[in-house]
Amino acid sequence: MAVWERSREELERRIATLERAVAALLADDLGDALRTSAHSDAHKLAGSLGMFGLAAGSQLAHEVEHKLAGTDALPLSEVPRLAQLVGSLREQFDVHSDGRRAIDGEQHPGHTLDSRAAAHARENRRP
Amino acid sequence: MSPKRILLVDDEDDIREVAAISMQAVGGWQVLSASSGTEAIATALAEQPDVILLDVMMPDLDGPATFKRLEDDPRTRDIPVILLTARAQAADRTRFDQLGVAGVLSKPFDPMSLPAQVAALLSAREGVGECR
Repeated sequence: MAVWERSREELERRIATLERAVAALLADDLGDALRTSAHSDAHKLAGSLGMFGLAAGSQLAHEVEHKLAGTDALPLSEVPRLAQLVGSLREQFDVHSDGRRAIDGEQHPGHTLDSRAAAHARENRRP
Repeated sequence: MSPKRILLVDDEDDIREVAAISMQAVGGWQVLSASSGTEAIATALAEQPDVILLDVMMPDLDGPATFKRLEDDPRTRDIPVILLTARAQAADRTRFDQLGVAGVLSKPFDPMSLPAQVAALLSAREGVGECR
């Protein structure tokens, strides 16, 4: 199984945490525990999505992380922007996931890290 | 000549896994891994890797604290440490550089160029050492 397939479920779970945090904010009910989890998950998404070819997703997650930092209540005026960021992140992730599924389903060479790295290693072994 | 050995330290499984594939398959390194600062120190002591790639933000013992402990121990102080951080702000990078690490790399990294980035930082460090 490709690294992406193994990681996708965890990435999905982290985005779902951000969506729960936005929903809680919209209901004016974001507790400390959920905010801390969402901040941590945004940080992890920012650090990992780009490895899978989702550089824009990493940037969006970084912005979300920045907005959720600290302990002061998030100004109401910031909530729509946060919701927009998380919505865009979800959209990018889903499009990327669907694309990867199509590629992996066709066993298209050279589009997964494993196959790219294996090809590179083969290339380097040639005399 | 046997391949160089790198110790990858990150609490996130996917980042360790991608970095390991990158360093092994693309860079030809032997890879050791640890999921915490405490485990990293124990592995560094036992295995004496050629370099350590150390995540900054980890629960319990974070990257800078782990680096400090490695540096305080004569058995590990000469192992070059490269910090890996998603906190790419200039102020953070300067602070990390001032710790005395061999370099700082940003997350997310490009798996196809990570080995070259590590090698470049190590070469630069060796160059500085030769000038002294």
